[in-house]
Amino acid sequence: MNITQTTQAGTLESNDILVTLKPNPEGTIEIHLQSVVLKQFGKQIKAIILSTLQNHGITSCLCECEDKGALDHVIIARVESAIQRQL
Amino acid sequence: MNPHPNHTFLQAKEDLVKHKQALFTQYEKPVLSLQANMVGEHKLSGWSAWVIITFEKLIQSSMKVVYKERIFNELGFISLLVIDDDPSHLKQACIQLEETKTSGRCIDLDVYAKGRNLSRYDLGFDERKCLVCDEMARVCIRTQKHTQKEVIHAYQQCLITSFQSKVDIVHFALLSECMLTPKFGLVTPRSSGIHQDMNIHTFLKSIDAILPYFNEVEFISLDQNTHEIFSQLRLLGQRMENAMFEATQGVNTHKGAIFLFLMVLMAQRMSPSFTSSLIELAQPLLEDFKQMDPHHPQSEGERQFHQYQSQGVRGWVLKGGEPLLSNTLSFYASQPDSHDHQVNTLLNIMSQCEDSTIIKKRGWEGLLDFQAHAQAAMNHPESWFDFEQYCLDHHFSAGGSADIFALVLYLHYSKERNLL
Ligand SMILES: [Zn+2]
Repeated sequence: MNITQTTQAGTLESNDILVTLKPNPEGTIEIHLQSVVLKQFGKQIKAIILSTLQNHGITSCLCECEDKGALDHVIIARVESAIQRQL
Repeated sequence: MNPHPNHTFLQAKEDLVKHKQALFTQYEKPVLSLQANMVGEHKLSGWSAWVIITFEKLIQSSMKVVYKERIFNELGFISLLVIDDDPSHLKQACIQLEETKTSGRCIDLDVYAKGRNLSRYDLGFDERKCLVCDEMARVCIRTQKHTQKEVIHAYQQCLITSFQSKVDIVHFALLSECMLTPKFGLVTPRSSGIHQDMNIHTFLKSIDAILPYFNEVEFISLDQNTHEIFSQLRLLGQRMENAMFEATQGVNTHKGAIFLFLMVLMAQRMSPSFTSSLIELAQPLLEDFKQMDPHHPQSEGERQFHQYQSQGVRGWVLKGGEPLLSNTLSFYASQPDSHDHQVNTLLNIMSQCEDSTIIKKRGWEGLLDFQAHAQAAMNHPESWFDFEQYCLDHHFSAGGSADIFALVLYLHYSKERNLL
């Protein structure tokens, strides 16, 4: 499944993450992450986002994420609801 | 896709931001939100309410608040203040408060403007520190470095240390009673129980109105006999009731609590182990009973005295609050504070207290039935919903037990804080 429109989920409140999904003309999954804990956990958070996208059959998108200290289950839920909002 | 178990929580967060954006658009001024950074599933408590309301007061005394709103939902207690100030200047003032006040570590002061919260980092400040170990808080949260128990303990200790006076602890105790949910027919932040004329805001207004008067107990001279002390307390109590009725537009929210707290605060001044001084201070109440005319009761209390020989809260104070007070204090002290333990403490009180509000509704037999139901619900959270339903069906709202619950918390923490 390709992402065809711009959708958003989440907030910039503490312990949350704002996820924006956009179409990617390159046809690949590209993740841009800003995080208050980028140095410590950037890789880990990106891996969670990527696997959530792949689990929902996404093959192409631009995923911009601004993390304010969200835990894994919040990250997954926010990515999932950004995908849901595509429909 | 299945909805996430935390769906309503996450939805509430998005809704909160939409609401902040709407306020920002309407007022064209920064929106300050106050939230306790308490972990765990029970976000509504006296702990969070105390820190939020204490900071609300600080902010209202030094900044120009143009709009104020208190929200109670899945996220807990949120106070929103629209402030007439430049956003970065306001954020700096808030960081100052977070850094310099003892309880500043227990609260998040977020400044929202132009689509986002201003970050500490953008203004050149460090990220917030963990309450337990001084590491960056977000790192500890992500790695789950500390158990939830540890974090809650550190949080509570931080707030206990920031109680500056007995009146701070009275405030905390009254708020704890107010916030406790479920409360079995009584008013909570999520329900008005059996009441149509009041809600959580009525109670919070009432607490704000009566609180300053408790300071005046300190000014009553001990160089007079107990009858004179008592009559001065009675005058103070009347002024407090007037302030309460004015704030609540005629609803009785804290009459019982005013009486109990004034008596106990004064008795503590007379002697730190206050039981005997409480009994001594209460002696003039005996005259109330003597003067009663059995054929023409002047109040519900008098009617119950003649019908059931129940002396209500006055009789209770005449016995120094015993044995209920000692029983419940040791029950509460037997475990670290938690939401469920607070509910059990209230149920413990309900199972013993001759609560006049219950007697009024269903007589003595009704009281015994109520006490047995409360006893059965104690330590059984799975039965709390049924007990709540029982109270709603019988129109029970055990206000007397709730007052004693607040008193127990006050006594416990004033001892722990050593402010006796
Ligand atoms: Zn830590």
